[in-house]
Amino acid sequence: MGFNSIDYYLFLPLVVLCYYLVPPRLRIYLVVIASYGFYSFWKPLYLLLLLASTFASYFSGLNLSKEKVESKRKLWLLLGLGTDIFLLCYFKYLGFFTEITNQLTGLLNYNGTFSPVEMLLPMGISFYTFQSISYTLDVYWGKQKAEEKLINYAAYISFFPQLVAGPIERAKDLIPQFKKKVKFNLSNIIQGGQLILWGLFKKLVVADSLAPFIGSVFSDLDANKGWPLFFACFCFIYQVYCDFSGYSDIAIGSARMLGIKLSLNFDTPFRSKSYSELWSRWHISLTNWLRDYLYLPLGGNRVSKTRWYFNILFVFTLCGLWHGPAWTFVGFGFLHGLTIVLGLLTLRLRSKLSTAIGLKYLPILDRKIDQILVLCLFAFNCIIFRCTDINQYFEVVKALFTVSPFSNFLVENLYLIGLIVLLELFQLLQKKGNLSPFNGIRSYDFRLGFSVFLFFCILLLGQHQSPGFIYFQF
Amino acid sequence: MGNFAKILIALTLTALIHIVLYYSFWAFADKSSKLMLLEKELYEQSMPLNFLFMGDSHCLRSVEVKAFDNSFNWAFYGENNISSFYKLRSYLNSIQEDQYPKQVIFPFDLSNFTRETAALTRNHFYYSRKINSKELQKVSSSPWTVFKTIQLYRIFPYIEWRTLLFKYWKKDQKQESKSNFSLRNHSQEELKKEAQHFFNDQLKINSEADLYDPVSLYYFEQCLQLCKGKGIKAILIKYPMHQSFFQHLPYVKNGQRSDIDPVSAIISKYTGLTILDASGEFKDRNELFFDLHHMNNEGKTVFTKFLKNRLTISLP
Repeated sequence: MGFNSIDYYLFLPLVVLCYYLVPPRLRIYLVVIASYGFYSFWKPLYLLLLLASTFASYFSGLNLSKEKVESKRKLWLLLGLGTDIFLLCYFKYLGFFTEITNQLTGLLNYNGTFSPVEMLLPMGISFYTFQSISYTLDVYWGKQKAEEKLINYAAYISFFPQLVAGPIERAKDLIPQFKKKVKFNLSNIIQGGQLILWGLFKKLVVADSLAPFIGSVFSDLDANKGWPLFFACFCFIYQVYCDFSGYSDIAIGSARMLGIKLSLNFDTPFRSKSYSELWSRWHISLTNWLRDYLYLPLGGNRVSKTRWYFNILFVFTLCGLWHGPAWTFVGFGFLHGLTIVLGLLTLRLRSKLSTAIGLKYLPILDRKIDQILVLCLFAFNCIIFRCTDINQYFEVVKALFTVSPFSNFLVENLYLIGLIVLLELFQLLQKKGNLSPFNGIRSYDFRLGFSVFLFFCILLLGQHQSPGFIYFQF
Repeated sequence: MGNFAKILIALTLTALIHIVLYYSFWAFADKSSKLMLLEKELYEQSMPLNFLFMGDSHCLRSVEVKAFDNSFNWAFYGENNISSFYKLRSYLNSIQEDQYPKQVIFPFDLSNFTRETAALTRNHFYYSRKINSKELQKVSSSPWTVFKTIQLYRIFPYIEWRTLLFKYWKKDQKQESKSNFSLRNHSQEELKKEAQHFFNDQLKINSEADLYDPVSLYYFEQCLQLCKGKGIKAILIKYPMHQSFFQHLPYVKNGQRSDIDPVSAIISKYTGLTILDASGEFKDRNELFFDLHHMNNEGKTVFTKFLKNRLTISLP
C-alpha cells in the first residue's frame, strides 16, 4: 500500500476518522494497530522483524535507565544495538558481504566460496532500525528518559506515515506527541491534506514524468551521449528529489491530520550555496542522525584536520552504504564526502578567486553561481546512484564528456523542462524552513484555490501507472 | 465568511470542475478517440460482415482489410484477450442475430497471453465501460485491483486525455511511420538486443509463470465460447514473426516448449476452428518487418495476399 495508491487514500481517512472518534486514551492503540496493519499489507511475516526491533530496544532502554553498573549497562546497550544491527546486516547486507568475501577469497586464491545470498529486503528496515538505535543510544547517554509504556514505544517505532521511508524521528520529539490529548482541529486536516497534495504533485506529476526519459537515456548511452545525458543527469536529481521529498510531504501531511508534527526532511536543497549546506537541507533526518550518532562520537570537527576530513569521508561512505548493499552506493557516499572535503580544502582559494574576479561586489550573481555549481556537482555525484554497477558508472561518465551536437532533445523534452520550471515557480513561495508553498500563501482563499489547482494537476498531468517510491527500496 | 463555508465552496468548485471535465472529455473523445471512431465505423458497415478481425497491433499492422470483401479490422494497439472479449460481446449484444459477422478472427500469438499483456495499460477510459467488473474480479487474482482501476477510469476518464491528443501531437503519425522501416540493415547483434528488450523489458518475462497468464487464457476461451454460443465461426491466427523472435524466445528449447502449451489445450476442446499458424512463414524476410514482431507496409501487402489465399482454401 504505497502512498501513491488508492488504497492509502481509503486507509488514511478511515484511520483519521477512527482516531478522533475513539476516546483519547485509546488512540495510541489505534495508531499501533493501524501501523502494523499498514506494514502487513506488504509482507505480514516481516512484521516479526519490526516487533523484534521494538521489543529489543524497549527492554534494553528500560534496563539501561534502571541499571547503575556500567558493565551491565553496556550489555543492555549491546542487546538493543545488536538486535538492530543484526537485523540490518542480515536482511540488507548479507548478500553484499558474501560477495565481498567471495571476491577476497578469490584474490587470495582460496578455493572455497560462499553461495550468493538473495534476500527479500524488509520494507523500511533501514529507517525503523535507525530510529530504534537512536532511542537506545539516547537512553544510554542519558539524553532521553526510557519510555515506560510499551505501547507508546511501539507507536514511535511503527508510526505508519514515517515507518517505511522516514523522516527518521527522535523519541524525544515523537513520543510526547502521542501522549498529548489532541483535539479535532479542522486546520490540521486541511494543512495535512494540502501537504499530501503537494507531495503527490511532486511524485506523480514531476518525478514519474521524468522517469521514462531518464530510463531511456541511461539504457541507450550510445544514442544519448553528451548533451542529452547531461540533461538527463539533471532530470535525475529532480526525480529523486521530487520522489523522496514528495513521499516525506505525504508522510508529514498524514501525521498532521492526526495532530502529530513530523520533522522537515527536505528544505529546498537546490537553493544551497555550498555543498555542506545542501546536505543540511537534503534528507535532513538522516544527516542529523549521522551527525549525532556517528560524526560527533568520532570527534566531529574537534579533532585534527586530517581526522576531521577522515570523519567526513567515513560518515558519508557509511551514508552511501545505508542506501543500499552495492559498491555504487558506497561510491555515492564517498563521492559526496570527498566533495565536501575538497570544498573545505579549497575554501580560502575559492574565496580569493571570488574576490579577485569581483564577485564579492555582486552578491546576487555570486549566490546564483554558487547555487548552479552546487547543483552541477550534486548532479554529477548522483550519477553513480542511478547506475547498476561501477562499470556502467564509468561508461556513463565517459559518455557524459563526449562532445555531441546540441541536438533538438530540449525541444523534444519541452514538457519535462516545463514541469521542472513549474515546480521551481511553486517553490518560490516556499521560504526556508517551510514545508510547502502553501506556507508562503497568506490568503486562506488562495490556499484553497491552490489546493483545487494541485488536485486537478495531479489528475490531468500525473502518471497514474506510477511505480513505487524510490526510497521504499532502502 | 467562515473557513468551513470556504472549504465547502472549494469542494463544490472541485465537483463542478470535475463534471465539466468529465463531459468535455467524452464530447472530445467522441470526435477524437481512434477507438471510438473505429467503433462508429464498425456500426456503419453493412452487416453481416464476412470477417471481423480482433486483436492487437500484430493484426493491425499485418492485415490490409480492404483486400477482404465486406470485412472490418477492429484490432487496436495494446488490446488483450480481456478487452477483445468484452468489446466483441458488447458489439454482438447490440446487434441482431442476423447481423452477426460470419467469421471472427482472433490472434493466438505468444504475446497475447503473457502476464504483462493481460495488465491493460492504456485506453482504460474506453475499455472500462465495456468490461464487466464483477466478472473480471471473479477470475482475477487481485479483484480489488481490478475494481479500483475500473472505477478510477470510470469516474475520472479524463486522466487519459493525452491519448486523445495523439493525432495533434503527431504521436499516431510517428506510430504509423514505423511501418516504413525494415530490418534489412540490422545486424545480428542489434536483433538480439531488440529481442532481449522485447522479452525482458516489454513483455517482462522473468519466469515461466509470466508466459501464460491464467486470466488471459480464460478470456481467450471465453472468446471462443462466445463465438460458439452465437453460431459464429472463429478463426485463430498466429501472425508472422521475425526469426530473431524464435531464436531468443525464452523457456523454449529447439522451438518447442517442454510442457503442454495451455493455449493448445484450450483449442483442442473446440471443433470446427480454423487455425492458421503463419508465425514462421516469413521469418527470414528481413525486409517485411520493422521490428521482430511487427510487419511493415511491404509485409502487410505480402501477408494480406497470403492470408486471403489461405482463408479462401480453408473455408467453404
